[in-house]
Amino acid sequence: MGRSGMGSGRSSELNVLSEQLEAGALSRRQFVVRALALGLSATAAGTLLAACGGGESSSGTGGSSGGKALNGTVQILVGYFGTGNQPAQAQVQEALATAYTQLHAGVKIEFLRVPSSSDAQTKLVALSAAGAPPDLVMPTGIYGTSLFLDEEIWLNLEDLLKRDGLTLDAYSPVTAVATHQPNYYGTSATGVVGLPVGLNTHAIAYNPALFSAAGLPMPPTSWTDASWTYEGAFLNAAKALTLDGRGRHPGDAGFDPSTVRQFGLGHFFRETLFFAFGGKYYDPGTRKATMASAGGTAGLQFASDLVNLHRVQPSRTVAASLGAGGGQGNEELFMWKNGQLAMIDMGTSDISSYGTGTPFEFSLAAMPAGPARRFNFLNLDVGAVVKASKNTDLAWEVLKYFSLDPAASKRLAFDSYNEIPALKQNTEAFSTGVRASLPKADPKVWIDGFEFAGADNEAWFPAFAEVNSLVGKAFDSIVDGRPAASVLPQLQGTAQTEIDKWFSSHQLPR
Amino acid sequence: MVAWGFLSPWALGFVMFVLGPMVLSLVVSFTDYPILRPSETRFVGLENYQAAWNDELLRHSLAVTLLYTAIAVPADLVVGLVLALILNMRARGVAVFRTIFFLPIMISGAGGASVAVALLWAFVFQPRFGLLNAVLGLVNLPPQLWVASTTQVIPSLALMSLWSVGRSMLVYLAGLQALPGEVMLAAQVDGASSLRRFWQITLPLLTPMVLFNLILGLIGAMQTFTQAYVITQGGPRDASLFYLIYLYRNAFTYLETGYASAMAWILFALTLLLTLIIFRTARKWVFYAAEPPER
Repeated sequence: MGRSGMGSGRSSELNVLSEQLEAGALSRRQFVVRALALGLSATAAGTLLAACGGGESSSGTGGSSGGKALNGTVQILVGYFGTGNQPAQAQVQEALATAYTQLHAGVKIEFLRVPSSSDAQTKLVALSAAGAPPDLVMPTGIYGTSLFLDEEIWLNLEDLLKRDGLTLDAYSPVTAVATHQPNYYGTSATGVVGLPVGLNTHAIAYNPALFSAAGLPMPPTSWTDASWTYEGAFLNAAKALTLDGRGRHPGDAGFDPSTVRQFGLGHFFRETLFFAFGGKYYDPGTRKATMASAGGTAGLQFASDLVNLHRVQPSRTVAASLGAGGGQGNEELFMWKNGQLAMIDMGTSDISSYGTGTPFEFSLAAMPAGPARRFNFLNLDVGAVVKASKNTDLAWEVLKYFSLDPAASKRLAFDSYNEIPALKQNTEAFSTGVRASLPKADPKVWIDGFEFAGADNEAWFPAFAEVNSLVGKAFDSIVDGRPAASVLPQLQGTAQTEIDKWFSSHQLPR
Repeated sequence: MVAWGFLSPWALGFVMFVLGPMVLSLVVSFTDYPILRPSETRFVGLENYQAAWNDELLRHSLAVTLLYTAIAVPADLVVGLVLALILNMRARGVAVFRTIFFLPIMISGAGGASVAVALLWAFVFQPRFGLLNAVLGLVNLPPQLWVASTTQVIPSLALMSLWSVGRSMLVYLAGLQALPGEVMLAAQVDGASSLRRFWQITLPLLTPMVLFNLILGLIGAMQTFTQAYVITQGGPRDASLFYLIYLYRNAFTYLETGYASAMAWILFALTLLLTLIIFRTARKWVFYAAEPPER
């Protein structure tokens, strides 16, 4: 295409934008951002905006500045939870930052990138202790905000939301629990630790060819299908999909677990089973650790049985020897792509790893129901302002742009992290994106899963880091073969000691 | 004054970046020092040290570290010496091999492993496609899990420590080249075999270098961190939870800075004690050319 062709294409797109602005379908900010994306200079976009006489801003992403020019530098810590530093992700962040700084010439946005979540944690602590914290941490999951909640590292955004006349209504309702962190702020839960950026829910991803070969019906996409239970249809399917070196299934005479070449299940989280069977980490009412409940014990024992009794899921060591392909932690990814796993847990943010580059087209099914409930992880990414930042007002303005500007929020959530945008109005953009890139995966399955999604595994409770470390080790040992009934009471006792210790030196905020 | 002028950059750096933080960490070890809320710091006396005494995980991390030290340090001493003996021979191209064996040091960090080296070794240990299992496969040996196994992770990391064996090799090499030629010649004239010359002359005269490498190796091994942090993060199942990994967790995950500082001083005391024991026993096995060996 020649230069004139490019110019006329841009011109027609600008005409469409102008029409949308005049019709009120676009806010002034959206207009400018999109005009900039088309390659127009900030001045030209501003002139065009004035010529169009567009209406008042409706996005609410810059309202509080009240026409006052914004000035200063905002430093954003990226890499919390190891996400955000892939080249494609960084590209989106940089593009959005450029678009913002073109609108606000006095603002500079710097990205502080660290390679892993633990490095990010160290960096955040060290910089905060040194009195030079980053201004924003983005994205951070609920687990990430929980780690530092009782250290009062995050700015409570409640007052800023009120000041700017904003509410959280623009976001998917499912974000409310996580942004409020009710275990910490109490049942009234008005404190807000971050503005949502993206949502990640989970579903079962399966290899249809392996189901067909086993003569099994495809698992249901409906989250209310009562026949789809862990101990019933799910386990039966997993057994039928597990094959040893001579094609026998678990339970068949002569089945040899040491030669399994295809597992029914992998990359599946024991916590999902713990919660689906009725487990709970902590009871805020009684301030007690509750890991050893009957439900939790049954759930974890079932998780262990999948590996050690039913032999439908590879153990950690089997996965390491069978499926290692890309470094520690990626073994099951390799197995999945090699067709050695029939079903896995796939979150939307796994799309770029587990969802792309597979030599088969996978499909999605709902998570099965446990005896207590149907449970699905809710991973919510927020942008959080660091309380000790010397630039909280500017950080808040930048955060609003990334979170509340529809175009920016969509790009950041889906284009960068393959997450479902947290803004209600952008949910459809996720579906469109998934349909375009994964023809056999029905995005509705992920979206419908919201109803059953909870942040139970990430939501804050006292001595959060210490207890989670204990939980991780105890759960590991159960999946390695130790009986849940003996491990969990011990875990509950040590966790309670940590919780009591926490209460001896901390107070919950009122 | 001129001398102090020349010394002051170093002295200033030492006070600011070594002595000062050391004293501060000693003070912090007697407090609860909440790092993100320093104004709430309380003096807790010996509480952190008492807690360390009762901390099972600390004992476990110490055992892991000592086990690693017990494997990695002797391995470094022996392999370094063997390499030095080989590379001390007068052969064509030996200088090239000396350079090759020393090169890994150039990208090793303190303690023998930088992040880059650790990442490289993570691939070497890879159970399916790793170099080590490929070599085992060539001689029809079964593949191993290496760092993914609770029993093999420490020997694997000790094996990895040989990446920086060039450092001790170089010290031995310097020692070998400084051996008094007339003594070796006299022994040769007297008919001593090469093996006997090694045990009776070379090795005793190299013992100062052995002591030097032993002390440096011990101190380095007790501070092992990077390779475990990058490759295993203390796993699997805490099997490679080195002392410093646990200290780091306390400082930056649990934000127990006071406790972490106490841990650092306990490690310092323990390393000092082990070093003193070695120095004490060194009188019996280290021979300096100027004095006759003790009988």
